[in-house]
Amino acid sequence: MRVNPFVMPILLIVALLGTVLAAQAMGVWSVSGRDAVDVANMTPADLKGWMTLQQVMDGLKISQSELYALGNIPADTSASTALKELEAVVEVSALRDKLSARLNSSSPASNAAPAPVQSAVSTVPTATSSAEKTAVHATPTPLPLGTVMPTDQIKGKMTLREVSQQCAVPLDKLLAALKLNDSYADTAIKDLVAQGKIAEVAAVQAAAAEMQR
Amino acid sequence: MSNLPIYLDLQPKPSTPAAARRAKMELTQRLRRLTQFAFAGFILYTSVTHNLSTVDGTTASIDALCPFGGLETLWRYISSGGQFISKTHLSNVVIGLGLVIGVLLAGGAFCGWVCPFGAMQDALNWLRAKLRIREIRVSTRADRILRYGRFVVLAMVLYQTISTVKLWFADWDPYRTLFGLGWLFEFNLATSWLAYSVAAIVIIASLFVERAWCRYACPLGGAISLLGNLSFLRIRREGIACKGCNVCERPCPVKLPVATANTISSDCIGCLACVDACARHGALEVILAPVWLDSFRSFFARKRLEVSDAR
Repeated sequence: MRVNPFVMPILLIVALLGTVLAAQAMGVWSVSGRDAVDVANMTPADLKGWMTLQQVMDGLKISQSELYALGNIPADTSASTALKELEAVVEVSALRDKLSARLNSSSPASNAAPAPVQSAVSTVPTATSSAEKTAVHATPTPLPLGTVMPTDQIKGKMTLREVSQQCAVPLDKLLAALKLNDSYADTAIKDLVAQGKIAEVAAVQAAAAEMQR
Repeated sequence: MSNLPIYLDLQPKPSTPAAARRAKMELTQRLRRLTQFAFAGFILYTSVTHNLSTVDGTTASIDALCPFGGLETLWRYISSGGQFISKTHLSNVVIGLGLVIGVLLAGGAFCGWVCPFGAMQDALNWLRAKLRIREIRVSTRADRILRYGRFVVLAMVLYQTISTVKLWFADWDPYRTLFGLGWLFEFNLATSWLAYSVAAIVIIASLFVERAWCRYACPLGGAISLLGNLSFLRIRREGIACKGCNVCERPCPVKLPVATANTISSDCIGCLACVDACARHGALEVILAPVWLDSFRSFFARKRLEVSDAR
């Protein structure tokens, strides 16, 4: 049966776009893995590239040494490093599988820090005013009870919000001490230095240390 | 006489049959270029917005919109109960499904009408013609052998992806390299030299050999070619009506032996240039005749013959 030749490309395009539209209408469509994660009930399957090592440790309740050993992560890697920044060392998918196997095969490991009190974490990041591509992290996990990070461990990749939570200092006071407004709370320190908002990482360390006294 | 500007006047002017065919071919190819341009433009727009985005996860990356990513992550998606290889998402599986449906209906028209990389190669071919660079014609025998390269690349990519559980192809995929615009926004020769090298080789090859990547190395093209054997729509040459002038072979971008085939190979990209170029009415047509249906018909025809012979 002969058909008009244009039926070929039309059918192809209708099939392609129609499937996409149908998926969107049914809610079966996602172009990003940045979905809300309930940290209190987190499983290895919830691991996302944007998560930091600290968030993984807190959500899955495993120690830093255990996580680093599973992922062959260098010991000097900051806990605030996002998993996607460690792709050269360990793939997210591979780490998921290793964590699944580890958590399924043994009883829950003893943690260095107690499990955090945490409700569902909103992962919609705050937009920054900078035109440059900044390292924006998801809303960080609150500090585990009883654990305060020394200020000399503050790194350039951390945001001021993460510093506030991990060093147990009020965010508004930290911003005031650095003469910054709320819009910079989720900007990485190294980007603030690059933009000239603060002189260097040591300035944040000093401000946080002053507040911890 | 039409008063429309020439580029809007889509009515062919049948002064002679040859002129009518030429006008029809130009119309088809003009529509094809517009469609290619639209899809390529959309992909580039997506890449630009993704690269400029200051907030992770709010814009789609080029990886999220690739149907081949759907094929690459499919095993992981099925075997792990819903997880994806990094950089791929549900969108890949959906677009991959849409492509499968499209190929089963209409064969390889994705390559000729949608694929941005195919559009880029067509543009390179146009540039070659404008610069009067001599095209390198691959011999028939070499062409036949080299076409298996797509299946070799496809097998290698799928094997490595499944075994490493990562988007192994991403490190050197020329489509991702060029259309992802990493070379523009985050140029890094130290880490991306392999990707840049492969892209450069493909561009140079496509400049001298029309659609070189599509014909000899594209893994998605290999998958489409395999699946296209089940397509409902095919281009068929009616031997009785055909006068053997070989005019249909000249415009084929992927250099298929149209003039000697009964059913055009599943390597066809559905550009329809051959159908428009054919001088004989009914000699080269798009028909609703999936190959598997032909097999059934042949089988039952043989059975009927055997039964009548037995009587």
